[in-house]
Amino acid sequence: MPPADKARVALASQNLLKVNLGWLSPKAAQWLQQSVGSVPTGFHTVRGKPIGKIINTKAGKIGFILFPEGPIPGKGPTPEQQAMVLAAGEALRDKVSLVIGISPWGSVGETNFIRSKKAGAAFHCILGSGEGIGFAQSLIEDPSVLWVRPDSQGRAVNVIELLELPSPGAKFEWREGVTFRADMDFLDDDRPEDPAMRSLIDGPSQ
Amino acid sequence: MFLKRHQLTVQTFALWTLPLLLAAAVSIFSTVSHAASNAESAGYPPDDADFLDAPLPQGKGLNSKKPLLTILYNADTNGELHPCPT
Repeated sequence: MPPADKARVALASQNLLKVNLGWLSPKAAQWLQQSVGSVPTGFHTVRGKPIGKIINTKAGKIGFILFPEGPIPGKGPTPEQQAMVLAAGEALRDKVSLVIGISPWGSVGETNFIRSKKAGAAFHCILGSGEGIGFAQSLIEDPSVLWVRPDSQGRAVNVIELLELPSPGAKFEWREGVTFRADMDFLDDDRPEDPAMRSLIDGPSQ
Repeated sequence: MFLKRHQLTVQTFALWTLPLLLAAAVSIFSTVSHAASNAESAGYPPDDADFLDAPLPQGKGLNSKKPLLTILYNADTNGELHPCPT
């Protein structure tokens, strides 16, 4: 598939998914802008300072902090970036029911971040990415921070079901099966294709 | 409601299972979506019957408590070329 077609499919397919929020690396954003002149709806590229977004749901306001990419894409942050992210999360904490961080810092960077114990004062959940393996959930580093990582090649969807939300100002710890459930839904060959997506990928000439 | 979630995963599958080598250009591509009780904000009408009847991934299945919020998360993170999953 020619590069321009890849970009077209990437843009159109993500728009078809209608995600609520997306994190786009600067490199990916540049590629899409140069190739097709746009980025998918709902996607944000973090350049410098972290970006905060609030989504209103029936369960309450959910705050998201989109982390900036570290000096090496997919790996850990600088101390300054870490401080900025913590400050951004803490600033949202009193305004929303839940604060979720979207991180590209890799498993090592995220481990260090959560292990510092500072993350728990700012974030209830970290949705990781970058280098490292995926898993449904981990509470090992800090039971107040639900840490989730995707399959490294995007072959699964992490499904996180929140059964309870933290009460403002109260101490809260995640307990699997009690306050949350988490799983990885692997997208294997048993899964039927979506005709609309297939048509989009095949293009008009197919 | 789950049908919508199912749709989401199907669409994601269809995209990522083709040998597009998309990740070669897209170094990190993370998406987050929420459904369940907040489905309306995502443009989907709530449908509890579908939600309860569908074969949901239920984590460890410790209880059947209905979630307040469901987050679907998918990312392609390593920038390597990859063909179909197995």
